[in-house]
Amino acid sequence: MSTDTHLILQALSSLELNNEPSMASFQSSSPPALSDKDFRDITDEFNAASDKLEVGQLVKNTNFTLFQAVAALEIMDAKMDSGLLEPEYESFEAAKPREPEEIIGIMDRLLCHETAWHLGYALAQTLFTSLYIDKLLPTRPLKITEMTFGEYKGDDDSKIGKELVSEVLYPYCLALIKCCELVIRQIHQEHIYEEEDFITQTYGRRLLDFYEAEQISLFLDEAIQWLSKHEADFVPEVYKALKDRIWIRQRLLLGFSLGVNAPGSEVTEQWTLTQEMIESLLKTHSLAKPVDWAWSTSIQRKLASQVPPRPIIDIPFKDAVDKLKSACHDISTIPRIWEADSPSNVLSYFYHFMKRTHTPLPYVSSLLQTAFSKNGMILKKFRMHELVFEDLKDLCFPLEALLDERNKSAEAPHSVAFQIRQRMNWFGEHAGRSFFELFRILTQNRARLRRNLCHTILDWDTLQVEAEEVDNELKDLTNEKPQLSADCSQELFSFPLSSWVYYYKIRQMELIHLLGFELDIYQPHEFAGMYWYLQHYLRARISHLTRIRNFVAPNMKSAGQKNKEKEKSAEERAKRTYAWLNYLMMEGTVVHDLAAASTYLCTVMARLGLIKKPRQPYGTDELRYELRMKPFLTIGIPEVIPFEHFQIQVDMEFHDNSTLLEQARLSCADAKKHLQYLIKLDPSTARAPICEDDHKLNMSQLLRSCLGVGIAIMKLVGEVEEAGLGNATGESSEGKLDGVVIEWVREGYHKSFPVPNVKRG
Amino acid sequence: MSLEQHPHPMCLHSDPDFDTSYHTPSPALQKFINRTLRISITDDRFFIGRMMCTDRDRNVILSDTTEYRPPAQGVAGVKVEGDSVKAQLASRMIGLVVVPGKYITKIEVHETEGQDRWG
Repeated sequence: MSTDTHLILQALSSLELNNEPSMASFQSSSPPALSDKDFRDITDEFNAASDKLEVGQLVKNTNFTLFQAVAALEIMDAKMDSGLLEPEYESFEAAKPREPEEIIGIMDRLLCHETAWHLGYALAQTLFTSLYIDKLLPTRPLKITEMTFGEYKGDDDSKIGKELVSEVLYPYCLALIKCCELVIRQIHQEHIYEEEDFITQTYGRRLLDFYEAEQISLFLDEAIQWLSKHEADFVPEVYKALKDRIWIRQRLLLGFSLGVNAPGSEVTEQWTLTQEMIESLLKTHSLAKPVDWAWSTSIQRKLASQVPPRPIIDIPFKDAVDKLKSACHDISTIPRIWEADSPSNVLSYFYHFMKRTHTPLPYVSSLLQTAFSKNGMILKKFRMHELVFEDLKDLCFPLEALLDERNKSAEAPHSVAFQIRQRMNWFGEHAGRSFFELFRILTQNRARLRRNLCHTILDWDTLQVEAEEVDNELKDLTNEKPQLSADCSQELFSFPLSSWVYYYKIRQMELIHLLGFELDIYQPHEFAGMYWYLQHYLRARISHLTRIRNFVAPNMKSAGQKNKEKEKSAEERAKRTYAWLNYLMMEGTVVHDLAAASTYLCTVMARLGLIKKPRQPYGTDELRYELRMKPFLTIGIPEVIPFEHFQIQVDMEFHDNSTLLEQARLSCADAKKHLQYLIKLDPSTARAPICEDDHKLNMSQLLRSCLGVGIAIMKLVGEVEEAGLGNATGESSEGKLDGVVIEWVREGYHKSFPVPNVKRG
Repeated sequence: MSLEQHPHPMCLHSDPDFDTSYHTPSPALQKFINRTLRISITDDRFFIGRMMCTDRDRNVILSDTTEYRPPAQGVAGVKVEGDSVKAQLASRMIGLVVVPGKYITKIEVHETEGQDRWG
């Protein structure tokens, strides 16, 4: 290859997105072979010419812009020029004998770095800054024999110290590298946001992808054998510490290589065991000696040569261990989703999954996605449409004719069965995709979740309209008998498909609002309005569920017409559906009442000047309302109400403070009462037997928020009475409550219901 | 990193980005634009890249730059024998850089290839 082509290729490769910019570093083939002869010294000529320039004059390529100049790295600036760093990796002697306490120190810090990487930092700021790891991955090795610590030529001849490095630390590092490779491989398979959640960039280094985990595991077996043979040479605690670390690394290696690709019991056992073992690390960590000399930022000049150097990320050892432990625990519970007896159970699991206080690692979310769907099979047993039909039966109890097995064998295009099947297939396919997507986005980080929901509700809205048409046709095909509306003025049909779609659409709209509070998107002065909207959607949920419930009994009767046995099974199923609908309504009521109490409370606090609106010279309430409601503007039902109407509902201008606070108190008390009832229910009624802990925590956080809001209301009632502002309405009470301040507390409360702490200040 | 904190040597003056009517203030320097330069600096590194821009203070912007530097002292395997040193130089692609004039010790231009090497 000529020099020219070579250079151009090189330039091109550095342009490609996501390309590993480091590939060029330190390879004999990369630099253009330019010899001294080709260069002519122009220093003096250059100096003389530049001296003639005026200040501010530029000599430049006509196409070169100032904008491009900003992207240039400044040489000799310590913050930008990684070339300034002392190249410690060049003189590092990896094979040098080390004390056992130092080996422990190295292993523990490597574990911290591995965890920091899992948490979303780049390898260049974590594991790859280890001089030991760097030594093993200088170029692109293809054989494990090329990955060595090199030779030691110094005069330290401690045999044990030397072998500790070569027989214990070396296999440990190899296994660690392999662990990273397995993690990256898993993450690439599923949908995880690169950079935002996790960085898979390896800077052109191959991480032992050419070796199987089992082979690497054998090296660890040998390490354990070596340790056993030399047990007498170590202090017992040190011996145990070293052995534990090798064992845990082996566990992790096998765990990462297994992921969730095994029968449920095996996965659970593997990860539970790992979790238990990791705990032991904390006990022996005090033996570790600091090993700062084994790390260097300077490695970054080889890794990411076109960006400024970035600091090494060190997280405390205890945090790392805790993170890994929760990760193991999270993974060990994933197989439960395969045993769940209805899609709603699985959905509860997903719903709570990313809400966990320790936020599951991206690797774990990725495993959950794999466990949910692999090779076109969902939960190892359903096709997409089957998942929808299961849930449809469970939630809406549709007429039996719709999902009759016999429809499948109908072949005459004009037969009713065939026609029904055709329509159900259409629905299964379309709803299946949306339903599947809903599960998937619930495994994304919370901010992404909200953003994605804002997009998906549009699809659900369209789906609802289409499903209504299909429902209409199905009602004729099945000769469904209408029910009369409460006032006997209308004939109503069950419309199961669109009912199912509408329910999930509202739930997502609720979730968007709940997340708005959780993610701190809404500011305190918007709370009243946004809680009001939350109520609005919850009311829609409750009345819709009531409608669905009205059709369960008639549909059950028609199902049980043929024989006794069928009647019995239909009754059983109907009971289950009833229980589920009732639970959903009740839960909706609780959240509704709590949101109502919060609305009243926030409205009064705003009137009294306890919640202040920040000065926004270019903003108005109406503009902000438009912004907040943007995702919902095109939604058919429930539709966004006009701003003026909304403002009247929220401000309640003509009600005095005492009335509003009394309303708040009543709503809050109702919420509490019903919540206490819900908490006592069996988790299977809440469809949460596979995520009992998460469900209980959610309930108890809701209860805490109820109590907290209740206290705030009582305190405010006291203050208002004392100031004689009870009878004051909107305008007349403006900012009149002096000496009282509030502070929003989130810790310990439900994430969507922070509690105002009312105090004298 | 904000720009105010770290004024870029090349950003000091507001030259408009769109200047189809660009007239060079120095034909003597303009002839080096787009040529491959080798710039040595005070800490023994040198850079080979294509010159994009320069100013009165001799701040030079190079694109597609490769950095070369001698290895650390005492590292095994390095022999210093006249010209063969170059073979031992460590190099890496660092892309678009600005070399501040105050660190420049030597500027050389690549002769044999001529200007249209990159064209």
